[in-house]
Amino acid sequence: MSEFLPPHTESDFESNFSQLKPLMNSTEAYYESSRCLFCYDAPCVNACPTGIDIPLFIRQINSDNIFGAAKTIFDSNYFGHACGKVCPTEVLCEGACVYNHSDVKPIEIGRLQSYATAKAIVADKLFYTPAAKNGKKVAVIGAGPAGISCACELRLHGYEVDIFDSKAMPSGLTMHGVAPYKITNEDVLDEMAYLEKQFGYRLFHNTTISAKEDIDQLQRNYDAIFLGIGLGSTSELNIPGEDLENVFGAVEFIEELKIHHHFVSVPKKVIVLGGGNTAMDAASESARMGAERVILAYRRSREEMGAYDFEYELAKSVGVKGMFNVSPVEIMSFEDSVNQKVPFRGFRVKQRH
Amino acid sequence: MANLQSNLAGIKSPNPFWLASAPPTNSGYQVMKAFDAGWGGAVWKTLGVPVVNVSSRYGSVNYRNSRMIGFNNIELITDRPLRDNLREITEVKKRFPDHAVIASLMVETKEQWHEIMRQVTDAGADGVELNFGCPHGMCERGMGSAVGQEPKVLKTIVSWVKEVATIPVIVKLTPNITDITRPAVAAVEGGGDAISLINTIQSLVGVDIDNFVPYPVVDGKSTNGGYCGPAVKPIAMNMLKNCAQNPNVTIPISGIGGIENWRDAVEFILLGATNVQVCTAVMHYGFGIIRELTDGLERYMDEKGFQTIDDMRGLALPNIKHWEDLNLKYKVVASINPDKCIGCQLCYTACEDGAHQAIGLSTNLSDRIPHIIEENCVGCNLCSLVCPVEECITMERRDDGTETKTWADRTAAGNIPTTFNDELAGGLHHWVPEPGDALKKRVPRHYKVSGE
Ligand SMILES: Cc1cc2nc3c(=O)[nH]c(=O)nc-3n(C[C@H](O)[C@H](O)[C@H](O)COP(=O)(O)O)c2cc1C
Ligand code: SF4
Ligand code: SF4
Ligand code: SF4
Repeated sequence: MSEFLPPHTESDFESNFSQLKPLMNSTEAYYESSRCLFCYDAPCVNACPTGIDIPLFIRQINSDNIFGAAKTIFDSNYFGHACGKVCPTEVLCEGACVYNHSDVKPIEIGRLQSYATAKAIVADKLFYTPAAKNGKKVAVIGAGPAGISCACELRLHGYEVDIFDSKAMPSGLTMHGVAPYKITNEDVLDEMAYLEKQFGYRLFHNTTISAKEDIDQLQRNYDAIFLGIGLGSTSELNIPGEDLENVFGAVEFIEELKIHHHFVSVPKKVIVLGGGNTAMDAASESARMGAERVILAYRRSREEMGAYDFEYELAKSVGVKGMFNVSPVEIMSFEDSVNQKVPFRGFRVKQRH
Repeated sequence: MANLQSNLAGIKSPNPFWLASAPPTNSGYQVMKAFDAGWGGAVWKTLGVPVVNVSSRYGSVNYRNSRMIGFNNIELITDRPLRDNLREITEVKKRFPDHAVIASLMVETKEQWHEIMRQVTDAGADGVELNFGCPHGMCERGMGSAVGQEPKVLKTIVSWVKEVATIPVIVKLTPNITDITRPAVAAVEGGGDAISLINTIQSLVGVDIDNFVPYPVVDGKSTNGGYCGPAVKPIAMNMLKNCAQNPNVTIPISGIGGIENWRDAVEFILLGATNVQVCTAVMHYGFGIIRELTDGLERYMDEKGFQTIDDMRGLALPNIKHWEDLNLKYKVVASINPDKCIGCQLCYTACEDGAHQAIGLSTNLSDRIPHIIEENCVGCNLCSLVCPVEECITMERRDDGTETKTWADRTAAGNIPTTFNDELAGGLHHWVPEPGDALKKRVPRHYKVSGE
């Protein structure tokens, strides 16, 4: 069944993880932006959690005011480029586009958004400068979207901002948790560098704030602390065998993959437990890493899965098989005839009635 | 089956679709190819003393994702020797004896007109078209639109040509004039056998805003050009109608200007054109569009039961009245079909900001379907024009159709507003909101002035 061979080089990896929302060229952006109706009180805007003025930026693209479009986007969302690529637009702006009601393809808002912002990032078009120092200092814990956005906003108001993050690279989930076919690491880091250059916050990497003393120290040195800690580890199953070799949490697996790309090896058969979006990603990614059989096992019915439909469809499209109403009771390992340790033989599952 | 045969002042062609005098008729090669593709006739690229053209000749107006909705050129008449053109005319006529080949002409002196008439007639042309239209370059030399704008001069030149003409003479008019019927009547008086209109409209299609020079750019400079393509069609049709309705324009009309598909052609014919000529659409899409043109026209004629082009010619003319003869009792109001509405609310802003505040937004957050406030609706059509869904907003008739009263009737009855605050004003009892209400209106959260 495997559509994908295990990637051995970075270019294999890139082709296995080709971008779902590739960058538009200017002709495509022009044609697509031409279709937007410039709706009044546009439903796409209302569906955008950051409230980007979508009809405005699309009209700016259409009149070849690309930097104006980028500014409109960044004004509402500092992660404008990443969001264009990784947001579940199908259930947000694009899902709300009026074209859906006439069975016409909705405007590709996400890709237009990335188009405009990428132009500004590549051209190094800087829109923001921090305000004069107001004498106050804020510590931000976590360099993910929340922490960085908070820092940008504070800098515009004259606060000094130090951001602490346990990872070696910024942007949290975007860098470490988003499937590689949604955005490349370069794109993520380019936008981070672009923001850092404009807003001038200080980033302290590989700095884990975990102990009470750490917090106490921050409290002494800063006027305020912002907690931007979104990305946790995978929740535990609490079943026997969870700590066997080759049993991973999806979040950890994805992070490993994001950082080490083709150096990660994925075995031929993979079972993913869970029905959320992270499970879908882990399953898709396993298949794209060359796993021959990938089964997605979920304890309830397909309809009850937390994942977006299009995420499940995406997983299916690369050969992932769904298995529903099954709960794992144990992960087992055994030694085979030549005494080689096989990580696990399988699951004992309980069928739900 | 409808008969598409066309006869303009004795010039016959298998169908009413001619190529207008322009780059597509520059050579025998192109005209043969066009006839082979199905075109009925061709007006040769204007002949005369050959010119020297500039490089960088065209500019265009693009509208959103549509290219070349308007097209502009600064090209002159043919730059090829007359001898070559004549030889090719003869060759084309030999191979396509039933197709119309018209020689377009532009020269200066009486002697030249006589000489060139003799030569193109000998070459086998079925007729000539006098180019009094070119609005750039040639007019600076006293030809083209410089003639078309002077009815007296135009009449004189037509009569020179008619002194020697043995084939029909078509006079091509420039639209760069206030009253198109004056040169049209002059053409009749000079003895012309037909008129054709419109030639291009003087234009600048755009300015390079980085270098401050209009298009097309010729070594950093530009000049006005002639405008054509779909954008000019409404102007061409109005001029066509003016000529077709004028009792002194007694000769047939060849319609030109923005024709791209069969519907355009039908409209021109309904407005009185005997045949039509096409340029920009061919420059955009090639000769192959003739397949759609003839097929569409034929189907339309069959559907309507027209045997010949003449059966349908001018049928729209009796329905074009002066404003004062329109029925003021006629009353339509907009109606939104909620099943078709997609909730873009464009109709709302159009009426709210650009018309009569006669559309209200839905109070039901889930559907976004606006509603018409009938008592405010003046029936202007605007909302139905901006609605992106076909047939979603329709205009419904509200008067019972029994009463007719025109401005002319009211004037005759002394029943029209005549003073500044006249009680007879049309909008007097029409509701308008108080100015200050505008500032109380809730607007979407992102509709803020930038920088606020
Ligand atoms: C419905 C309508 C009514 C108009 N009424 C007037 C008018 O009362 N006075 C005037 O000077 N121009 C009037 N105009 C012309 C416009 O002011 C303007 O010159 C013209 O529409 C061209 O500009 P546009 O292409 O931006 O529409 C009117 C235009 C429209 C569409
Ligand atoms: S809903 Fe669709 S068409 Fe309307 S403004 Fe938004 S993107 Fe444009
Ligand atoms: S027809 Fe004109 S006045 Fe009536 S609702 Fe539509 S836009 Fe408003
Ligand atoms: S313009 Fe048409 S589709 Fe849009 S809200 Fe109005 S009626 Fe509905």
